[in-house]
Amino acid sequence: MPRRLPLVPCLAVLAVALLLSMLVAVGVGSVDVPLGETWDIVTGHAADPVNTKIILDYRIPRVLLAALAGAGLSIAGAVLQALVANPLADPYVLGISSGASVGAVLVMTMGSAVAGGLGVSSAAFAGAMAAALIVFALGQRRGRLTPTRLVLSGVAVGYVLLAVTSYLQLKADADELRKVMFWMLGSVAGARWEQLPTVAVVVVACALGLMLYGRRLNALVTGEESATALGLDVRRARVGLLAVSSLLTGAVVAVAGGIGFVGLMVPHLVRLAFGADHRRLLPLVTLVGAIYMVLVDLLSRTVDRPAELPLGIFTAVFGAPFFAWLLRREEA
Amino acid sequence: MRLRVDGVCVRLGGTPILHEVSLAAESGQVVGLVGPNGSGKSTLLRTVYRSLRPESGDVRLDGHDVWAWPSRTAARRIAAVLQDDATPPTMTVAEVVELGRTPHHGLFDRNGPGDRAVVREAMKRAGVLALDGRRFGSLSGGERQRVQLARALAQEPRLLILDEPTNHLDIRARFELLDLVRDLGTTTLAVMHELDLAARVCDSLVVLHGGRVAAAGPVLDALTPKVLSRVFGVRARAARDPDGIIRITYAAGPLADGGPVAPRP
Amino acid sequence: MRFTHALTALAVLCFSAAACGGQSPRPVSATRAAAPGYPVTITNCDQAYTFTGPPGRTVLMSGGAVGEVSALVALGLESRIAANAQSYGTSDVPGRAAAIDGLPKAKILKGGWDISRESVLSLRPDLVIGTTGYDFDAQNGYATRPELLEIGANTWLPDSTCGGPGTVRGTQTIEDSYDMLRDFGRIYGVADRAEELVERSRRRIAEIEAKVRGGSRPKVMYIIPGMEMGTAEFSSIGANGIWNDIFEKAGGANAFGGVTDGIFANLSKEQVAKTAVDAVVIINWRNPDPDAEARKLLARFPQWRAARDGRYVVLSDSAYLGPDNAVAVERIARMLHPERF
Repeated sequence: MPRRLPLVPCLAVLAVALLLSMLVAVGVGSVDVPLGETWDIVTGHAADPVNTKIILDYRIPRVLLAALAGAGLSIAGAVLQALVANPLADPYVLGISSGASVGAVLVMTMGSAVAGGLGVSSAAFAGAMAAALIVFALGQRRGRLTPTRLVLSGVAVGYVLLAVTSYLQLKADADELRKVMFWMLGSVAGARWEQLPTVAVVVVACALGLMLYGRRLNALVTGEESATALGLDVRRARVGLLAVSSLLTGAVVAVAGGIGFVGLMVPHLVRLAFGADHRRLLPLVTLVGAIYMVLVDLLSRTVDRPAELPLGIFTAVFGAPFFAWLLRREEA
Repeated sequence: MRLRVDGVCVRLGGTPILHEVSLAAESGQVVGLVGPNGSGKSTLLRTVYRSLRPESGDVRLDGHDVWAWPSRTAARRIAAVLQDDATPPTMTVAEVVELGRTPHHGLFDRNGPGDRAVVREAMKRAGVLALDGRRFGSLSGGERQRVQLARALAQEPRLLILDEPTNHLDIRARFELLDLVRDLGTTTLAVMHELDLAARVCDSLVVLHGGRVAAAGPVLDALTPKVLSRVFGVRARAARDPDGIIRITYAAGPLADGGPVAPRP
Repeated sequence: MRFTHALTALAVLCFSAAACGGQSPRPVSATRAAAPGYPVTITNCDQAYTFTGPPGRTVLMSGGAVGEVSALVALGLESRIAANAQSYGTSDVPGRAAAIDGLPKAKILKGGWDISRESVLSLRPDLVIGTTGYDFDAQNGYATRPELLEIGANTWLPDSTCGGPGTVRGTQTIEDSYDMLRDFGRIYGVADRAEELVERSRRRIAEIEAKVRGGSRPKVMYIIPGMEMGTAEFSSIGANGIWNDIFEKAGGANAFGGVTDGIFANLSKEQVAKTAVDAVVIINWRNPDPDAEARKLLARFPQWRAARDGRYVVLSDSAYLGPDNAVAVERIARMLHPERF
């Protein structure tokens, strides 16, 4: 008989784990800074300007961005999965990340005038939203979403948008070509403090808002008709949730590029361990997503020290087999 | 609680599905909705639990237009047990039943002791208390239907909608479920696939044929040999046996008055 | 995998043209006590950088290039280098490749060509030299020029490739190589040596120009085999770069000079076939057998005069921004006009 693990102690343990993993991630990197000195730097007692800059201006924003990106993409994944009642949904699989990339790259290469004066983040959101709407329109059959159609249209739209991104890059300027790599693989290596506030506000606000919405998400996953019978305005809920997941994806992609499979993997792992109730799932997914990304980033810069590997390689290496496994399970 | 469906018309993708359908269910009655596949039974249910707005006509519960209510208000009065339910198999029975409290809460509400009592009572009435911690996916078909029924009861509805509740259940589970529904005393509108079961559990029947009401009334009034032949294409007659149970006897041989009649367009 | 090609392409773009995240000009104040002859102030990419003494911990970024480190070696500044990411593994100047190989090596990002921002800071440089703005772009995980300044490190880029996207200044010429030598001469307090190198190069090139003057101007193709710069089959054909100046001085002209405004042309086999090519310059960029590449290329386009005459020359670092352009001018001139030597 599956008894659910108690929520509050689990959240406390995960919060501590997140804090610890962030501390380790700040303490370890491609360059050695002694732990004692790291502590002095964080508490404001250190003198060495080089190590101070490495820790305060490079590692801490990097670790924070990793945590926010992991949390944001994981929540977006959990929401999309509830939204379409399909465990294969994820911002990357559904092409929403690619849409955000197009929006961001458009502004970065052609200037904000082409996107109606939008900044990079807003353009990423607009791109994410547009991609999501197209994918959902294509994924419908007689007004109802079908899982296979949805995933297939996500993959198709994703490819088209990836091509658009590449085209924009090649077209714009030789120097911009290099950013193709960034948008394709995702990275937090260039994290800066000034990038954090927008992502932080979006992720925290969406996470809190969605936690209030947990009960309705539970109703939504039981299916369109069933949710209607439970008093949910399914169409309105879907549009709202689509906007929220696009906002999350756009905010993350604008600063960290298209990191794949996080939104797929984390909600599933959490569901396996803690069950499907979204009131429990969402806070847990937020923390686990943050921990996962902090650790993956840590791995990416320590596995081959002092060289660094792109973040997206690891999320794909872990995530793609997981996706295949899910696909098999779905077919079974 | 009295349900009145009045002159409901529905079109799906330009195709008319229901033509001026009217029916009534008196307080505490179990009304069965029968008819061949494609006769519009599930579509009619959808207009009642507010999944599909009728093009014209209205659906009233105790005189209130159900389509005038906010969706949550409606769901506190009308609950449905549906067929194509995608409830995740990983949810526990308690979690599924608790979903029934959804329309009773705003965004900031948490479950209180009152909710827990309602959930417990609903589980008790549906006979699923013992399944409490089980995963939904691990249950048998009959158990799942009873859990869904408990979920519906947790909505504290005044009208219960059932869409082929006995589908895929083995024979014992069918009777158990239907007896349970009968004993609830809640006004119920149920799509029934099998006439025997419908006859057994329902106070009255509405026979749909091609999106129109072909017959309605107490079971024996509705299931006349003529209706059975024209709507269902069988040679049969319904009668009450000495135990007071309505049985349908199917006979071999040519159909009375020439067989089933194609529904009017 | 396409991706590795993309990386290669990126690397070349970096060491060729390109630009960087814009830097807002801001005053730099010298904090250390000045050495004799110092402070020296260099204006680079519209910003003034002040040196209070010769840099002793130089870090060379941009592993796809070699011109900057080559210039430092030519100036005898090996001991000033703390870490070097640049290498071709070969050189047109005897001993140069070995000298570069002997320098302290920088750890570069896997799949990239530069040193991560943490690593570059931890090298505690006082001067970081790059090839394009790419090397100082935060988006790519590299330390920016203002950030390096904060820890007391000056930065230097070729002035023609330091701007933001789309702001590459004109087409590089041999003068840009001289400017680099002179900048390094001033920065490291070896201005006389730099001037000597420049003068020697000028004299050598003037001699060659005199020899080839008035002759025909054969059409020369500049190609880097094995490097993909774009999606077309021929994506690493030099269009507008320092080689145009080199060809000019060697008595030739770039066969592909006008096909695009960019630095490299991205052409199909058909477009290449219809262009008249009298001679080929094969650039050996980490290529195991450049002669085989040359033979393969000429065999594919037998209609070229270059193919009929078998006229090609393999060069590496001299045909790029760097201290040895005179070598390239002479080798190409000898190939194009052998009768004049």
